[in-house]
Amino acid sequence: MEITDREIWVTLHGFLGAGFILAFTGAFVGLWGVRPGVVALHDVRARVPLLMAGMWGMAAIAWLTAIVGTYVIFPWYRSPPPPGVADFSGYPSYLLLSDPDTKLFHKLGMELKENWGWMVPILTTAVAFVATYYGPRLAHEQRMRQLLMGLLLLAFGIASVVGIFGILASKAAPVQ
Amino acid sequence: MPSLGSSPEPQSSEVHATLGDSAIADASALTRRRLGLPPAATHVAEESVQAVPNGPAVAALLGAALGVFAMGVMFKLSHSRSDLAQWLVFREQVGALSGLSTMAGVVWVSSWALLTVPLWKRSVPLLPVVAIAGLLIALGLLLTVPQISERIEL
Repeated sequence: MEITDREIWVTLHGFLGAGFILAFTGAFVGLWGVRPGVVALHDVRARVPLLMAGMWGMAAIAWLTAIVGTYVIFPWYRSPPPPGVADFSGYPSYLLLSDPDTKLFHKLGMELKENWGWMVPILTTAVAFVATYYGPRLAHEQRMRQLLMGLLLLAFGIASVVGIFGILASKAAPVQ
Repeated sequence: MPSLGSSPEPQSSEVHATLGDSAIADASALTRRRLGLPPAATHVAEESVQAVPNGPAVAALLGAALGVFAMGVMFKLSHSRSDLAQWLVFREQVGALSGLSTMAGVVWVSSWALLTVPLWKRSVPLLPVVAIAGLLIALGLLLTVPQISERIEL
């Protein structure tokens, strides 16, 4: 069994996306936990740099996932077959569109994945910036902290939908 | 360090606290007292709790929301106007997505920067910001759903 270059890139893309989803819980709980009365002063100061590192790490992972997905893997996904070729197995988008059962994976799944995939890093970067801007003061900005948690949850939700469609499309028509 | 046995018994009101933020805070304070630890700070150090204007944070959040919205609008327009779809092909191999993602990034960064200038040292009410950002993000997400986007005339 051989792993092609394309499969390595697809695997890396999947790992990065999974990394973002796994990191979400830590960042979410981190934001939730930075509040007075629960966390002592020295704990806030110890937690905040870790939280910032986690947030910016998530943003970096989200950017990498989107860039690799769009500029490395997507061209392989959408490349058209040469004229006269009837076997679409090496041309995932055409393979999905050729079968009524998988047509929706492209028409809905991949279309969403292409665009929503770029919204995740934008939202995560905004969350990371705002958390960094407030720093330890975040413990006293309840509304802002809740807003950041909501945005992070939204980014997680979008990333999950994007990930599920990626898995489904990859299962039906793998890039190889 | 005082022994656990010497710590005062908890008051009934502390034990029967209802669940929620205050209950967690009460439980934390109670545990600390039982362990002989100093009370948890209920506020961060004086220098770090000085209020900062929320303007820069609001600019970042609205900028991100505008970036998401721009992506949705451009996606919709690129599907109804072939000249725009063609213009958005920044890289042939990637197609219009290359321009869509780049232009959404440009709108995001530039709107963030432009909003930061007037909001730098100002505080604004958060609720309208949440409403506007929520609306922009929701529209951006919906406009990139092809089945919804196709039904909207712009």
